[in-house]
Amino acid sequence: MVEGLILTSVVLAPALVYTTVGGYLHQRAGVVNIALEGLIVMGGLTGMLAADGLDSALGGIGVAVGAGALVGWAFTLVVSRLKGNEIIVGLGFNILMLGLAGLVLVQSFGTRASYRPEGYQRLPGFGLPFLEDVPFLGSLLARQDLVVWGMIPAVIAAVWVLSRTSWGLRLRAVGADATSSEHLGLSVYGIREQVGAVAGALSALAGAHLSIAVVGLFSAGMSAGRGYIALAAVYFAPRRLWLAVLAAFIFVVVDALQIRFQLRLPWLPVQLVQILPYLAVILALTFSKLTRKEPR
Amino acid sequence: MTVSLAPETSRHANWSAAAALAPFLVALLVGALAVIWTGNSPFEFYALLTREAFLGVSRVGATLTSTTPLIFTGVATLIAFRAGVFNIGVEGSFIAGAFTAAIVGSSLDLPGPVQISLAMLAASAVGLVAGWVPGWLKARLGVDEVVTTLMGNFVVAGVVAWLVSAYFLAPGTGNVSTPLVMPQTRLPSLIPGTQLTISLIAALAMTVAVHYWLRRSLSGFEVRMVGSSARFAWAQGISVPGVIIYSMVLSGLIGGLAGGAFTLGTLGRYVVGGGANLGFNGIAVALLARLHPIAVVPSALVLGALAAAGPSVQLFMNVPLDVVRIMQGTIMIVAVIPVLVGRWSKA
Repeated sequence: MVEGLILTSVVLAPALVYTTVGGYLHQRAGVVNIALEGLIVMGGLTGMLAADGLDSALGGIGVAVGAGALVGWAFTLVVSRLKGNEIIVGLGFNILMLGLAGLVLVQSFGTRASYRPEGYQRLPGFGLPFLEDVPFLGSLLARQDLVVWGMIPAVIAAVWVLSRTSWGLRLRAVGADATSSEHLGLSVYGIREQVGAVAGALSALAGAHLSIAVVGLFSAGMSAGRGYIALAAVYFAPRRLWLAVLAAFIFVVVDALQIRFQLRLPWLPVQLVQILPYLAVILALTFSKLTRKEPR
Repeated sequence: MTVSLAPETSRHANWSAAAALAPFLVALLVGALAVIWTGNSPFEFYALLTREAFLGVSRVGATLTSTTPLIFTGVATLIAFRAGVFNIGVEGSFIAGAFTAAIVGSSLDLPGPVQISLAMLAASAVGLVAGWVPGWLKARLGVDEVVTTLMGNFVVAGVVAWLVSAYFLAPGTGNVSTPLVMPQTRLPSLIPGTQLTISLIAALAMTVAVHYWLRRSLSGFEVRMVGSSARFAWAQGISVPGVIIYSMVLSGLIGGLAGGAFTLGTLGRYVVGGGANLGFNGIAVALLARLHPIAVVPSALVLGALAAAGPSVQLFMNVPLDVVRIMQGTIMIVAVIPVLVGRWSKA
């Protein structure tokens, strides 16, 4: 039972973790990215289409990442250079993406429900040699795909880029004080758009992994608010990426618990378990303000 | 959130009609492209859409039925936006109000007017609370209202869905819903043979009232003042936190009222997921109306017509309903791009 829980968590984690990293980076650059949800949907669909067309799961994920970068960049362009309000544009973008996904489903596959291509080559699973000898975890983690394993280097790379590279420094500067950064000669819009492309690529990767590798089908509602949950994780720890990722992982475990125990414990109020991430972030923000030291 | 969406008053007087219509026109264009992709003629599509929305008493009734809740939620959104508060949570107030009206309407058996009043009162009260909490958190503690209202919508929807399935489930229905309300609590019909009820009159009256309240009253002036510059309003001695709470309470109250009227007027019960994002779509309505209360009516009519005629167009022309969604999203995005609609938001 515990094994099942860990396995479900590990499999579901990329969908939230990559999105959280993307949303975190964008937030550090000064953009609240509400469009994460729509980007997951977009990535899930393009990834699935490409995986089917290219007959390769890896190819599908690659195409989704490219498309995500492009769309994430375009979204940021609207809220930066075109000065659209980021909240409204983000919400509108998500509606637009859901509509487009529904239209593509109907037009290309004549289905309203879901699109399940058959026979494309699945993502190869592999284990890390030194983990195989670990008595308990070894068997669970024996065959995970590239995207699951990639979470660890991705988070480490994001932390490193943020704190150790000049691009990361510029990113943080633009987020901390756009006007001063402008005066120092930084292209505020340009940097935000670059980060937007990264956030889009990561969210699309999350969506593509969800549709191609986890579920094996695409439906317009499959993201199920993961973009908003990732945003909640970012708000949980707006200044510590690893903490935000930890929050995301806790949300994943809660989700996995709910999925695992739904049938076994019919009295479990599923709807209440599902709102926990949202409730948690509201409470966390409230307590962080309550315990704030400086006078208002 | 320091960005304000309130229109600049100086600009407000002379904004051009073209700029005001830009979001709608772009949405028509994007919708046309989507329709062309489905292999249909956009002209035929829009002609059919117009016919299905406005030709015949029953079609007009259906359109106005879809328009009514959008007027409510559009005005609810607008009040908060005009105060510079980013209330994304009208959806939560709407859901809470719709559910509460269904419970009050189905569990008591009183004379019609009494029970309708009770149900609407209860609906507006829970809507008010759903607005007050994030308003208070923003005004007193500085908690970002975008996060609390956006996330709060999911919390309200989840709690209500749980309450329905755990305690108020109507036996023998296909979807998760409460029992039907008592027949005497259904709102009186406005056009016989349609679902249109007197709630349309209430919505129109409320819109006019809000218009004059914003324009002529002291508290309405304070709301506009805080929306256009909170610091200036503060320097003038206006209680900014008070106005923030006030606008959120009013916004939530109207959102709850919208939900109550939707239950007693349209569905007759609360169906989980049956509100079709009416609270959320109030944002698009308010933006299309450029936050002007009177303009909410035509703006809600446009989106109401799309919602009412969309399903029949899907049936007759084989254009999926998603085209309507694409147009809604486009309207929201374009409505806040200054180069297209003129500068009416400022940082």
